[in-house]
Amino acid sequence: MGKRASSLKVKLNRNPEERELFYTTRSLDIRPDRGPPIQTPQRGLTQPELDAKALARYPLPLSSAISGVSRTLNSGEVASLLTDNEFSENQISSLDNLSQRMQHSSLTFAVLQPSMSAVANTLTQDKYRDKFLRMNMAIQQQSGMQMVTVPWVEYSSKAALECFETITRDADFEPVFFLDTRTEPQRLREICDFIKQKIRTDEIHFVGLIHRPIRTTLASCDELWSCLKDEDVALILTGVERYDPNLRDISGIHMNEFILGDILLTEVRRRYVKPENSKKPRNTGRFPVSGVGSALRAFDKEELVVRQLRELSQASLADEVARELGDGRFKVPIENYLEAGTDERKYDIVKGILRTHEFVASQRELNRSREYISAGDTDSYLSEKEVLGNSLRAVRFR
Amino acid sequence: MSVESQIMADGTKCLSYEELETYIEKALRGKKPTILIEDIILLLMNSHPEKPIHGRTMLMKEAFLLYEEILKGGEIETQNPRFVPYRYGPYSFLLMQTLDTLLMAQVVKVRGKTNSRKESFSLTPIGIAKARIRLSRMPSRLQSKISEARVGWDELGTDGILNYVYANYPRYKERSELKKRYKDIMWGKGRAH
Repeated sequence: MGKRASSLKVKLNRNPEERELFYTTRSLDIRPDRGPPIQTPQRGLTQPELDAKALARYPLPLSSAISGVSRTLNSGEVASLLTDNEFSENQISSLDNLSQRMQHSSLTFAVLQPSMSAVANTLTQDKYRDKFLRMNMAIQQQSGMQMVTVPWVEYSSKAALECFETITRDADFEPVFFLDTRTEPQRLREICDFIKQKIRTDEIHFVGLIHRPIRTTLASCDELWSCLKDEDVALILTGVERYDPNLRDISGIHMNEFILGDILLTEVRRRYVKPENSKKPRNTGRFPVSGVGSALRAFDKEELVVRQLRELSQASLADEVARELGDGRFKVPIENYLEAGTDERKYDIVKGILRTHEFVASQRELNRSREYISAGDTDSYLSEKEVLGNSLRAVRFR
Repeated sequence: MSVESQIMADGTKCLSYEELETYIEKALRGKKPTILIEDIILLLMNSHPEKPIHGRTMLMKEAFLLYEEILKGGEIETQNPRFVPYRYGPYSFLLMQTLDTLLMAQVVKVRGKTNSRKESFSLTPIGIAKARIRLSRMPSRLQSKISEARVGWDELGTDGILNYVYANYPRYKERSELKKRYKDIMWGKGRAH
Protein backbone atom coordinates (compact mmCIF):
# COMPACT_ATOMS: atom_id res chain seq x y z
CA MET A 1 0.00 0.00 0.00
CA GLY A 2 1.45 3.40 -0.96
CA LYS A 3 1.91 6.22 1.51
CA ARG A 4 -0.02 9.46 1.10
CA ALA A 5 2.25 12.23 -0.14
CA SER A 6 3.05 14.68 2.65
CA SER A 7 5.07 17.86 2.89
CA LEU A 8 4.98 17.79 6.71
CA LYS A 9 8.24 18.88 8.31
CA VAL A 10 9.40 19.24 11.90
CA LYS A 11 12.64 21.12 12.63
CA LEU A 12 14.43 22.12 15.81
CA ASN A 13 14.71 25.90 15.73
CA ARG A 14 16.29 26.34 19.13
CA ASN A 15 18.71 23.86 20.57
CA PRO A 16 17.60 22.16 23.76
CA GLU A 17 18.40 24.01 26.96
CA GLU A 18 19.34 22.27 30.19
CA ARG A 19 20.33 24.42 33.16
CA GLU A 20 22.05 22.64 36.03
CA LEU A 21 19.47 19.88 35.68
CA PHE A 22 16.92 22.47 36.74
CA TYR A 23 14.84 22.59 33.57
CA THR A 24 14.75 21.11 30.08
CA THR A 25 13.07 22.83 27.16
CA ARG A 26 13.39 23.53 23.43
CA SER A 27 11.55 25.08 20.50
CA LEU A 28 10.47 23.48 17.21
CA ASP A 29 9.05 24.65 13.89
CA ILE A 30 6.33 22.41 12.51
CA ARG A 31 5.31 22.92 8.90
CA PRO A 32 2.04 21.08 8.38
CA ASP A 33 0.70 20.07 4.95
CA ARG A 34 -1.86 22.88 5.24
CA GLY A 35 -1.93 26.04 7.26
CA PRO A 36 0.75 28.32 8.67
CA PRO A 37 3.89 27.02 10.45
CA ILE A 38 3.45 26.08 14.10
CA GLN A 39 6.01 26.94 16.74
CA THR A 40 6.38 25.01 19.97
CA PRO A 41 5.91 24.86 22.93
CA GLN A 42 2.24 24.96 22.06
CA ARG A 43 -0.94 24.33 24.01
CA GLY A 44 -3.27 21.96 22.15
CA LEU A 45 -7.03 22.37 22.25
CA THR A 46 -9.01 19.49 23.75
CA GLN A 47 -12.63 18.38 23.79
CA PRO A 48 -13.37 19.61 27.35
CA GLU A 49 -12.07 23.04 26.37
CA LEU A 50 -14.37 23.14 23.34
CA ASP A 51 -17.25 21.99 25.54
CA ALA A 52 -16.38 24.69 28.08
CA LYS A 53 -16.47 27.30 25.32
CA ALA A 54 -19.96 26.11 24.29
CA LEU A 55 -21.20 26.18 27.91
CA ALA A 56 -19.71 29.64 28.41
CA ARG A 57 -21.27 30.85 25.13
CA TYR A 58 -17.94 32.32 24.10
CA PRO A 59 -18.17 33.17 20.39
CA LEU A 60 -14.54 34.09 19.66
CA PRO A 61 -12.05 31.53 18.34
CA LEU A 62 -9.86 29.51 20.70
CA SER A 63 -7.70 29.09 17.61
CA SER A 64 -5.23 26.41 18.44
CA ALA A 65 -3.05 25.12 15.63
CA ILE A 66 -3.33 21.64 17.14
CA SER A 67 -6.44 19.99 18.55
CA GLY A 68 -6.77 16.56 20.08
CA VAL A 69 -9.23 14.20 21.70
CA SER A 70 -7.86 11.91 24.37
CA ARG A 71 -10.10 9.22 25.84
CA THR A 72 -9.33 6.54 28.38
CA LEU A 73 -11.29 3.37 27.73
CA ASN A 74 -12.09 1.09 30.67
CA SER A 75 -12.21 -2.73 30.46
CA GLY A 76 -15.88 -2.81 29.44
CA GLU A 77 -15.33 -0.21 26.74
CA VAL A 78 -12.29 -2.02 25.39
CA ALA A 79 -14.32 -5.26 25.26
CA SER A 80 -17.13 -3.38 23.47
CA LEU A 81 -14.70 -1.92 20.98
CA LEU A 82 -13.51 -5.45 20.16
CA THR A 83 -16.97 -6.97 19.79
CA ASP A 84 -19.75 -4.39 19.49
CA ASN A 85 -20.58 -2.59 16.23
CA GLU A 86 -22.72 -0.01 17.99
CA PHE A 87 -19.88 1.05 20.27
CA SER A 88 -17.54 1.62 17.32
CA GLU A 89 -20.25 3.45 15.41
CA ASN A 90 -20.90 5.77 18.36
CA GLN A 91 -17.18 6.45 18.73
CA ILE A 92 -16.87 7.30 15.03
CA SER A 93 -19.91 9.55 15.16
CA SER A 94 -18.72 11.36 18.28
CA LEU A 95 -15.16 11.84 16.93
CA ASP A 96 -16.55 12.93 13.58
CA ASN A 97 -18.60 15.61 15.31
CA LEU A 98 -15.51 16.79 17.18
CA SER A 99 -13.33 16.78 14.08
CA GLN A 100 -15.89 19.15 12.50
CA ARG A 101 -15.57 21.52 15.46
CA MET A 102 -11.76 21.25 15.31
CA GLN A 103 -11.57 21.70 11.54
CA HIS A 104 -9.77 25.05 11.72
CA SER A 105 -6.76 23.52 13.48
CA SER A 106 -3.92 22.57 11.15
CA LEU A 107 -3.42 19.22 12.94
CA THR A 108 -6.09 17.11 14.65
CA PHE A 109 -5.90 13.71 16.29
CA ALA A 110 -7.72 11.36 18.65
CA VAL A 111 -6.14 8.85 20.99
CA LEU A 112 -8.35 6.10 22.41
CA GLN A 113 -6.09 4.79 25.15
CA PRO A 114 -7.02 1.66 27.14
CA SER A 115 -6.71 2.16 30.89
CA MET A 116 -4.03 0.22 32.77
CA SER A 117 -6.66 -2.15 34.16
CA ALA A 118 -8.19 -2.65 30.71
CA VAL A 119 -4.79 -3.67 29.36
CA ALA A 120 -4.27 -6.03 32.32
CA ASN A 121 -7.77 -7.56 32.27
CA THR A 122 -8.92 -7.47 28.67
CA LEU A 123 -5.91 -7.09 26.37
CA THR A 124 -4.25 -10.12 27.90
CA GLN A 125 -2.75 -11.61 24.74
CA ASP A 126 -1.03 -10.17 21.68
CA LYS A 127 -3.89 -11.32 19.42
CA TYR A 128 -6.30 -9.11 21.42
CA ARG A 129 -3.84 -6.22 21.40
CA ASP A 130 -3.44 -6.55 17.63
CA LYS A 131 -7.18 -6.56 17.13
CA PHE A 132 -7.62 -3.61 19.45
CA LEU A 133 -5.09 -1.55 17.49
CA ARG A 134 -6.67 -2.55 14.18
CA MET A 135 -10.15 -1.51 15.31
CA ASN A 136 -8.82 1.60 17.03
CA MET A 137 -7.03 2.88 13.92
CA ALA A 138 -10.02 2.05 11.72
CA ILE A 139 -12.27 4.17 13.97
CA GLN A 140 -9.87 7.11 13.74
CA GLN A 141 -9.62 6.87 9.96
CA GLN A 142 -13.40 6.90 9.66
CA SER A 143 -13.74 9.92 11.93
CA GLY A 144 -12.06 12.59 9.83
CA MET A 145 -9.14 13.28 12.21
CA GLN A 146 -6.00 14.23 10.28
CA MET A 147 -3.46 12.16 12.20
CA VAL A 148 -3.80 8.51 13.22
CA THR A 149 -2.48 7.51 16.63
CA VAL A 150 -1.37 4.12 17.94
CA PRO A 151 -2.12 3.79 21.66
CA TRP A 152 0.20 2.10 24.14
CA VAL A 153 -0.99 -1.45 24.84
CA GLU A 154 1.92 -2.86 26.87
CA TYR A 155 3.43 -5.14 24.25
CA SER A 156 6.77 -6.64 25.18
CA SER A 157 9.68 -4.62 23.72
CA LYS A 158 10.15 -7.14 20.90
CA ALA A 159 6.43 -7.28 20.04
CA ALA A 160 6.15 -3.48 20.26
CA LEU A 161 9.00 -2.98 17.79
CA GLU A 162 7.53 -5.55 15.39
CA CYS A 163 4.13 -3.87 15.61
CA PHE A 164 5.60 -0.37 15.08
CA GLU A 165 7.64 -1.61 12.11
CA THR A 166 4.60 -3.24 10.47
CA ILE A 167 2.41 -0.19 10.91
CA THR A 168 5.09 2.23 9.69
CA ARG A 169 5.77 0.08 6.64
CA ASP A 170 2.23 -0.93 5.63
CA ALA A 171 -0.16 1.79 6.72
CA ASP A 172 -1.46 4.41 4.31
CA PHE A 173 -0.79 7.12 6.91
CA GLU A 174 2.00 8.38 9.11
CA PRO A 175 1.39 6.86 12.55
CA VAL A 176 1.78 8.72 15.84
CA PHE A 177 2.98 6.09 18.35
CA PHE A 178 2.02 6.77 21.95
CA LEU A 179 4.33 5.74 24.80
CA ASP A 180 3.42 5.61 28.47
CA THR A 181 5.86 7.71 30.52
CA ARG A 182 5.67 5.24 33.41
CA THR A 183 7.32 2.56 31.24
CA GLU A 184 10.74 1.51 32.49
CA PRO A 185 13.63 3.58 31.01
CA GLN A 186 15.39 0.55 29.50
CA ARG A 187 12.30 -0.39 27.47
CA LEU A 188 11.77 3.21 26.44
CA ARG A 189 15.38 3.43 25.23
CA GLU A 190 14.90 0.41 22.95
CA ILE A 191 11.74 1.90 21.49
CA CYS A 192 13.31 5.34 21.13
CA ASP A 193 16.23 3.84 19.19
CA PHE A 194 13.73 2.45 16.69
CA ILE A 195 11.80 5.72 16.58
CA LYS A 196 14.99 7.72 15.99
CA GLN A 197 15.72 5.68 12.86
CA LYS A 198 12.23 6.45 11.58
CA ILE A 199 12.60 10.14 12.38
CA ARG A 200 15.83 10.32 10.42
CA THR A 201 14.21 8.68 7.38
CA ASP A 202 11.32 11.17 7.60
CA GLU A 203 8.78 8.43 8.37
CA ILE A 204 7.83 9.81 11.78
CA HIS A 205 7.36 13.45 12.78
CA PHE A 206 5.34 13.09 16.01
CA VAL A 207 5.58 10.91 19.10
CA GLY A 208 2.77 10.80 21.67
CA LEU A 209 3.48 10.58 25.40
CA ILE A 210 0.93 9.70 28.06
CA HIS A 211 1.61 11.95 31.01
CA ARG A 212 1.82 10.54 34.55
CA PRO A 213 2.65 12.46 37.74
CA ILE A 214 6.26 13.56 37.37
CA ARG A 215 7.34 12.16 40.74
CA THR A 216 6.52 8.65 39.55
CA THR A 217 8.24 8.96 36.18
CA LEU A 218 11.39 11.02 36.73
CA ALA A 219 13.83 8.48 35.30
CA SER A 220 11.62 7.67 32.32
CA CYS A 221 11.07 11.33 31.45
CA ASP A 222 14.80 11.91 31.71
CA GLU A 223 15.45 8.98 29.38
CA LEU A 224 12.90 10.22 26.85
CA TRP A 225 14.39 13.73 26.95
CA SER A 226 17.94 12.40 26.50
CA CYS A 227 16.90 10.21 23.57
CA LEU A 228 14.71 12.66 21.70
CA LYS A 229 15.83 16.19 22.62
CA ASP A 230 18.03 16.62 19.52
CA GLU A 231 15.62 14.98 17.11
CA ASP A 232 13.33 16.72 14.62
CA VAL A 233 10.22 15.21 16.17
CA ALA A 234 7.37 16.88 18.05
CA LEU A 235 6.47 15.32 21.39
CA ILE A 236 2.72 15.42 22.08
CA LEU A 237 2.13 15.17 25.82
CA THR A 238 -1.49 14.23 26.62
CA GLY A 239 -3.27 13.90 29.93
CA VAL A 240 -1.36 16.69 31.67
CA GLU A 241 -2.99 17.43 35.03
CA ARG A 242 -4.72 20.80 35.23
CA TYR A 243 -2.86 21.64 38.43
CA ASP A 244 -0.64 19.89 40.97
CA PRO A 245 -1.99 20.18 44.53
CA ASN A 246 1.40 19.08 45.90
CA LEU A 247 3.18 21.98 44.23
CA ARG A 248 1.08 24.98 45.25
CA ASP A 249 -1.47 24.25 42.51
CA ILE A 250 1.00 24.98 39.73
CA SER A 251 -0.52 24.61 36.25
CA GLY A 252 0.51 21.25 34.75
CA ILE A 253 0.84 22.71 31.25
CA HIS A 254 3.28 25.43 32.34
CA MET A 255 5.25 23.05 34.55
CA ASN A 256 5.65 20.37 31.88
CA GLU A 257 6.73 22.95 29.32
CA PHE A 258 10.05 22.83 31.19
CA ILE A 259 10.21 19.07 31.67
CA LEU A 260 9.04 17.19 28.58
CA GLY A 261 6.65 17.86 25.70
CA ASP A 262 6.44 20.25 22.76
CA ILE A 263 2.65 20.13 22.38
CA LEU A 264 0.82 19.92 25.68
CA LEU A 265 -2.80 18.91 26.23
CA THR A 266 -4.64 18.84 29.54
CA GLU A 267 -6.10 15.82 31.26
CA VAL A 268 -9.51 14.69 30.10
CA ARG A 269 -11.45 13.43 33.06
CA ARG A 270 -14.75 13.02 31.28
CA ARG A 271 -15.11 9.80 29.44
CA TYR A 272 -17.17 9.10 26.35
CA VAL A 273 -20.75 10.28 26.89
CA LYS A 274 -23.69 8.38 25.43
CA PRO A 275 -25.59 10.19 22.67
CA GLU A 276 -28.46 12.48 23.67
CA ASN A 277 -31.14 9.96 22.74
CA SER A 278 -29.80 7.57 25.39
CA LYS A 279 -32.53 6.55 27.84
CA LYS A 280 -30.25 6.82 30.84
CA PRO A 281 -31.16 9.93 32.90
CA ARG A 282 -28.51 12.58 33.47
CA ASN A 283 -26.71 12.29 36.78
CA THR A 284 -27.65 15.30 38.88
CA GLY A 285 -26.69 13.79 42.22
CA ARG A 286 -23.84 16.23 42.88
CA PHE A 287 -26.22 19.17 43.56
CA PRO A 288 -26.31 21.23 45.62
CA VAL A 289 -22.51 21.61 45.70
CA SER A 290 -21.24 22.53 49.14
CA GLY A 291 -18.28 24.85 48.99
CA VAL A 292 -18.56 25.94 45.38
CA GLY A 293 -15.66 28.32 46.07
CA SER A 294 -13.41 25.29 46.63
CA ALA A 295 -14.85 23.17 43.84
CA LEU A 296 -14.27 25.76 41.13
CA ARG A 297 -10.86 27.09 40.17
CA ALA A 298 -9.43 29.89 38.06
CA PHE A 299 -6.09 30.32 36.29
CA ASP A 300 -3.72 32.99 37.61
CA LYS A 301 -1.52 34.04 34.71
CA GLU A 302 0.98 35.91 36.88
CA GLU A 303 1.80 32.96 39.15
CA LEU A 304 0.82 30.22 36.65
CA VAL A 305 -1.30 28.47 39.28
CA VAL A 306 -4.92 27.29 39.22
CA ARG A 307 -6.46 28.70 42.40
CA GLN A 308 -9.70 27.91 44.21
CA LEU A 309 -12.23 30.71 43.77
CA ARG A 310 -12.49 31.24 47.52
CA GLU A 311 -8.87 32.45 47.51
CA LEU A 312 -9.67 35.19 45.00
CA SER A 313 -11.53 38.49 45.06
CA GLN A 314 -14.76 38.08 43.07
CA ALA A 315 -14.62 41.60 41.65
CA SER A 316 -11.02 41.45 40.45
CA LEU A 317 -11.50 37.94 39.04
CA ALA A 318 -14.59 39.12 37.15
CA ASP A 319 -12.60 42.05 35.72
CA GLU A 320 -9.72 39.81 34.73
CA VAL A 321 -12.01 37.24 33.03
CA ALA A 322 -13.91 39.94 31.13
CA ARG A 323 -10.65 41.59 30.05
CA GLU A 324 -8.99 38.37 28.90
CA LEU A 325 -12.09 37.15 27.04
CA GLY A 326 -12.76 40.62 25.65
CA ASP A 327 -16.42 40.68 26.70
CA GLY A 328 -17.99 42.41 29.71
CA ARG A 329 -20.94 39.97 29.69
CA PHE A 330 -18.78 37.43 31.50
CA LYS A 331 -18.51 39.60 34.62
CA VAL A 332 -22.03 38.95 35.94
CA PRO A 333 -21.82 35.14 36.30
CA ILE A 334 -18.39 35.40 37.96
CA GLU A 335 -19.56 38.11 40.36
CA ASN A 336 -22.46 35.83 41.31
CA TYR A 337 -20.69 32.47 41.23
CA LEU A 338 -22.01 31.46 44.66
CA GLU A 339 -25.41 30.93 42.99
CA ALA A 340 -23.77 28.10 41.04
CA GLY A 341 -23.71 25.99 44.21
CA THR A 342 -27.45 25.30 43.97
CA ASP A 343 -28.08 25.43 40.26
CA GLU A 344 -26.47 22.92 37.91
CA ARG A 345 -26.89 25.10 34.81
CA LYS A 346 -25.27 28.06 36.51
CA TYR A 347 -22.50 25.77 37.73
CA ASP A 348 -21.87 24.61 34.17
CA ILE A 349 -21.79 28.20 32.88
CA VAL A 350 -19.35 29.41 35.55
CA LYS A 351 -17.17 26.33 35.02
CA GLY A 352 -17.31 26.90 31.25
CA ILE A 353 -16.30 30.55 31.59
CA LEU A 354 -13.42 29.74 33.96
CA ARG A 355 -12.09 26.93 31.74
CA THR A 356 -12.35 29.12 28.65
CA HIS A 357 -10.53 31.93 30.44
CA GLU A 358 -7.88 29.43 31.52
CA PHE A 359 -7.31 28.22 27.98
CA VAL A 360 -7.12 31.72 26.49
CA ALA A 361 -4.91 33.19 29.24
CA SER A 362 -2.66 30.13 29.43
CA GLN A 363 -2.20 30.00 25.67
CA ARG A 364 -1.18 33.69 25.63
CA GLU A 365 1.26 33.06 28.45
CA LEU A 366 2.70 30.04 26.66
CA ASN A 367 3.21 32.16 23.53
CA ARG A 368 5.07 34.69 25.69
CA SER A 369 7.30 32.05 27.26
CA ARG A 370 8.08 30.68 23.78
CA GLU A 371 9.64 34.01 22.83
CA TYR A 372 12.07 33.66 25.74
CA ILE A 373 12.84 30.04 24.89
CA SER A 374 13.37 30.85 21.19
CA ALA A 375 15.72 33.66 22.18
CA GLY A 376 17.67 31.36 24.53
CA ASP A 377 16.63 33.49 27.50
CA THR A 378 14.62 30.96 29.51
CA ASP A 379 16.39 31.99 32.74
CA SER A 380 14.85 35.47 32.52
CA TYR A 381 11.38 34.02 32.10
CA LEU A 382 11.76 31.64 35.02
CA SER A 383 13.10 34.40 37.25
CA GLU A 384 9.74 36.18 36.75
CA LYS A 385 7.76 33.08 37.78
CA GLU A 386 8.59 32.22 41.34
CA VAL A 387 6.12 29.37 41.91
CA LEU A 388 7.13 27.72 38.64
CA GLY A 389 10.84 28.01 39.46
CA ASN A 390 10.34 26.62 42.96
CA SER A 391 8.18 23.77 41.66
CA LEU A 392 10.80 22.77 39.10
CA ARG A 393 13.50 22.80 41.79
CA ALA A 394 11.26 20.78 44.13
CA VAL A 395 10.66 18.10 41.52
CA ARG A 396 14.33 17.75 40.57
CA PHE A 397 16.03 18.13 43.92
CA ARG A 398 13.58 17.04 46.59
CA MET B 1 -8.25 36.28 -28.38
CA SER B 2 -9.58 39.81 -28.07
CA VAL B 3 -12.51 41.07 -30.16
CA GLU B 4 -12.65 44.71 -31.22
CA SER B 5 -15.75 46.85 -30.67
CA GLN B 6 -17.80 47.18 -33.82
CA ILE B 7 -20.92 48.87 -35.16
CA MET B 8 -23.39 46.47 -36.74
CA ALA B 9 -25.40 47.22 -39.92
CA ASP B 10 -28.46 48.29 -37.90
CA GLY B 11 -26.37 50.70 -35.86
CA THR B 12 -26.11 48.48 -32.78
CA LYS B 13 -22.75 48.85 -31.12
CA CYS B 14 -21.08 45.59 -30.03
CA LEU B 15 -18.54 46.31 -27.30
CA SER B 16 -15.23 44.60 -26.78
CA TYR B 17 -14.73 43.03 -23.35
CA GLU B 18 -12.31 45.78 -22.34
CA GLU B 19 -14.70 48.54 -23.36
CA LEU B 20 -17.59 46.84 -21.59
CA GLU B 21 -15.50 46.65 -18.44
CA THR B 22 -14.79 50.40 -18.64
CA TYR B 23 -18.53 51.13 -18.90
CA ILE B 24 -19.29 48.90 -15.89
CA GLU B 25 -16.52 50.51 -13.91
CA LYS B 26 -17.92 53.99 -14.71
CA ALA B 27 -21.44 52.94 -13.77
CA LEU B 28 -20.33 51.52 -10.41
CA ARG B 29 -17.97 54.35 -9.55
CA GLY B 30 -19.19 56.26 -6.53
CA LYS B 31 -22.04 53.80 -5.99
CA LYS B 32 -22.00 52.11 -2.60
CA PRO B 33 -21.97 48.30 -2.72
CA THR B 34 -24.95 46.49 -1.25
CA ILE B 35 -24.77 43.09 0.40
CA LEU B 36 -27.55 40.85 -0.87
CA ILE B 37 -28.77 37.66 0.81
CA GLU B 38 -26.79 35.68 -1.73
CA ASP B 39 -23.68 37.59 -0.62
CA ILE B 40 -24.30 36.66 3.01
CA ILE B 41 -24.01 32.99 2.03
CA LEU B 42 -20.99 33.67 -0.18
CA LEU B 43 -19.27 35.72 2.53
CA LEU B 44 -19.80 33.00 5.09
CA MET B 45 -18.60 30.13 2.91
CA ASN B 46 -15.80 32.03 1.20
CA SER B 47 -14.30 33.05 4.55
CA HIS B 48 -12.84 29.50 4.72
CA PRO B 49 -13.62 27.95 1.34
CA GLU B 50 -11.85 24.69 2.16
CA LYS B 51 -13.78 24.21 5.45
CA PRO B 52 -17.43 23.22 4.96
CA ILE B 53 -20.31 24.33 7.19
CA HIS B 54 -21.76 21.23 8.82
CA GLY B 55 -25.54 21.01 9.00
CA ARG B 56 -28.41 23.33 8.04
CA THR B 57 -28.85 24.50 11.62
CA MET B 58 -25.22 25.69 11.75
CA LEU B 59 -25.57 27.40 8.37
CA MET B 60 -28.74 29.21 9.39
CA LYS B 61 -27.40 30.28 12.80
CA GLU B 62 -24.05 31.43 11.39
CA ALA B 63 -25.88 33.46 8.71
CA PHE B 64 -28.07 34.93 11.45
CA LEU B 65 -25.06 35.92 13.58
CA LEU B 66 -23.24 37.30 10.55
CA TYR B 67 -26.22 39.53 9.80
CA GLU B 68 -26.96 40.54 13.41
CA GLU B 69 -23.45 40.98 14.77
CA ILE B 70 -21.37 42.08 11.80
CA LEU B 71 -23.39 43.33 8.83
CA LYS B 72 -26.52 44.94 10.31
CA GLY B 73 -26.00 48.65 10.89
CA GLY B 74 -22.50 48.44 9.38
CA GLU B 75 -20.97 50.69 6.77
CA ILE B 76 -22.34 48.64 3.86
CA GLU B 77 -26.05 48.48 3.27
CA THR B 78 -27.28 44.91 3.67
CA GLN B 79 -30.49 43.31 2.45
CA ASN B 80 -32.56 42.14 5.42
CA PRO B 81 -32.97 38.34 5.34
CA ARG B 82 -36.06 38.71 7.59
CA PHE B 83 -35.26 36.15 10.24
CA VAL B 84 -38.31 34.92 12.17
CA PRO B 85 -38.63 32.71 15.27
CA TYR B 86 -39.06 29.14 14.02
CA ARG B 87 -38.61 25.49 15.06
CA TYR B 88 -34.92 25.79 15.94
CA GLY B 89 -34.74 29.53 16.59
CA PRO B 90 -34.07 32.24 14.00
CA TYR B 91 -34.91 31.16 10.47
CA SER B 92 -34.99 33.00 7.14
CA PHE B 93 -37.17 31.62 4.36
CA LEU B 94 -35.52 34.06 1.96
CA LEU B 95 -32.09 32.74 2.84
CA MET B 96 -33.17 29.11 2.35
CA GLN B 97 -34.68 29.95 -1.05
CA THR B 98 -31.45 31.68 -2.03
CA LEU B 99 -29.45 28.66 -0.86
CA ASP B 100 -31.60 26.37 -3.05
CA THR B 101 -30.97 28.65 -6.02
CA LEU B 102 -27.22 28.59 -5.37
CA LEU B 103 -27.31 24.80 -5.10
CA MET B 104 -29.15 24.51 -8.41
CA ALA B 105 -26.74 26.92 -10.07
CA GLN B 106 -23.85 24.77 -8.74
CA VAL B 107 -22.40 27.70 -6.87
CA VAL B 108 -22.78 25.79 -3.58
CA LYS B 109 -22.33 22.03 -3.18
CA VAL B 110 -23.80 19.80 -0.53
CA ARG B 111 -22.39 16.51 0.80
CA GLY B 112 -23.70 13.98 3.30
CA LYS B 113 -27.12 12.94 4.54
CA THR B 114 -29.79 15.66 4.19
CA ASN B 115 -30.92 17.33 7.42
CA SER B 116 -28.22 15.71 9.52
CA ARG B 117 -25.04 17.07 11.11
CA LYS B 118 -23.16 15.22 8.41
CA GLU B 119 -24.73 17.36 5.71
CA SER B 120 -22.07 19.88 4.73
CA PHE B 121 -22.17 22.97 2.55
CA SER B 122 -19.28 24.60 0.70
CA LEU B 123 -18.55 26.57 -2.46
CA THR B 124 -17.86 24.86 -5.76
CA PRO B 125 -14.99 26.19 -7.93
CA ILE B 126 -17.67 28.23 -9.75
CA GLY B 127 -18.84 29.49 -6.37
CA ILE B 128 -15.31 30.47 -5.32
CA ALA B 129 -14.83 32.41 -8.57
CA LYS B 130 -18.22 34.07 -8.17
CA ALA B 131 -17.49 34.95 -4.56
CA ARG B 132 -14.15 36.46 -5.53
CA ILE B 133 -15.83 38.79 -8.05
CA ARG B 134 -18.82 39.65 -5.83
CA LEU B 135 -16.75 40.27 -2.73
CA SER B 136 -13.84 42.07 -4.34
CA ARG B 137 -15.42 45.40 -3.49
CA MET B 138 -15.93 44.58 0.19
CA PRO B 139 -13.36 46.03 2.59
CA SER B 140 -10.68 43.49 3.49
CA ARG B 141 -11.12 44.24 7.21
CA LEU B 142 -14.75 43.11 6.93
CA GLN B 143 -13.66 39.87 5.30
CA SER B 144 -11.03 39.20 7.99
CA LYS B 145 -13.60 39.91 10.71
CA ILE B 146 -15.95 37.37 9.16
CA SER B 147 -13.13 34.88 8.77
CA GLU B 148 -12.30 35.11 12.48
CA ALA B 149 -15.95 34.97 13.54
CA ARG B 150 -16.55 31.87 11.44
CA VAL B 151 -13.79 29.95 13.30
CA GLY B 152 -15.36 30.89 16.63
CA TRP B 153 -18.85 29.85 15.54
CA ASP B 154 -17.67 26.55 14.02
CA GLU B 155 -15.91 25.68 17.28
CA LEU B 156 -19.19 26.09 19.19
CA GLY B 157 -20.82 23.20 17.32
CA THR B 158 -24.58 22.93 16.85
CA ASP B 159 -25.51 22.76 20.54
CA GLY B 160 -23.12 25.55 21.44
CA ILE B 161 -24.31 27.91 18.73
CA LEU B 162 -27.96 27.30 19.71
CA ASN B 163 -26.99 27.98 23.33
CA TYR B 164 -25.31 31.24 22.29
CA VAL B 165 -28.13 32.40 20.00
CA TYR B 166 -30.92 31.56 22.47
CA ALA B 167 -29.10 33.31 25.32
CA ASN B 168 -28.35 36.48 23.37
CA TYR B 169 -31.45 36.67 21.15
CA PRO B 170 -34.19 35.21 23.39
CA ARG B 171 -37.10 36.45 21.29
CA TYR B 172 -36.13 34.01 18.53
CA LYS B 173 -36.65 30.96 20.72
CA GLU B 174 -40.39 31.61 21.29
CA ARG B 175 -41.44 28.92 18.81
CA SER B 176 -38.43 26.68 19.22
CA GLU B 177 -38.95 22.97 19.84
CA LEU B 178 -35.83 23.07 22.01
CA LYS B 179 -36.67 26.06 24.18
CA LYS B 180 -37.07 23.97 27.35
CA ARG B 181 -33.49 22.81 26.98
CA TYR B 182 -32.23 26.39 26.73
CA LYS B 183 -34.07 28.18 29.54
CA ASP B 184 -33.19 31.78 30.45
CA ILE B 185 -30.77 32.10 33.33
CA MET B 186 -31.06 35.01 35.74
CA TRP B 187 -28.05 36.05 37.81
CA GLY B 188 -27.91 38.26 40.88
CA LYS B 189 -30.57 40.94 40.75
CA GLY B 190 -32.43 39.34 37.89
CA ARG B 191 -29.81 40.10 35.27
CA ALA B 192 -29.70 37.57 32.47
CA HIS B 193 -26.48 36.29 30.95
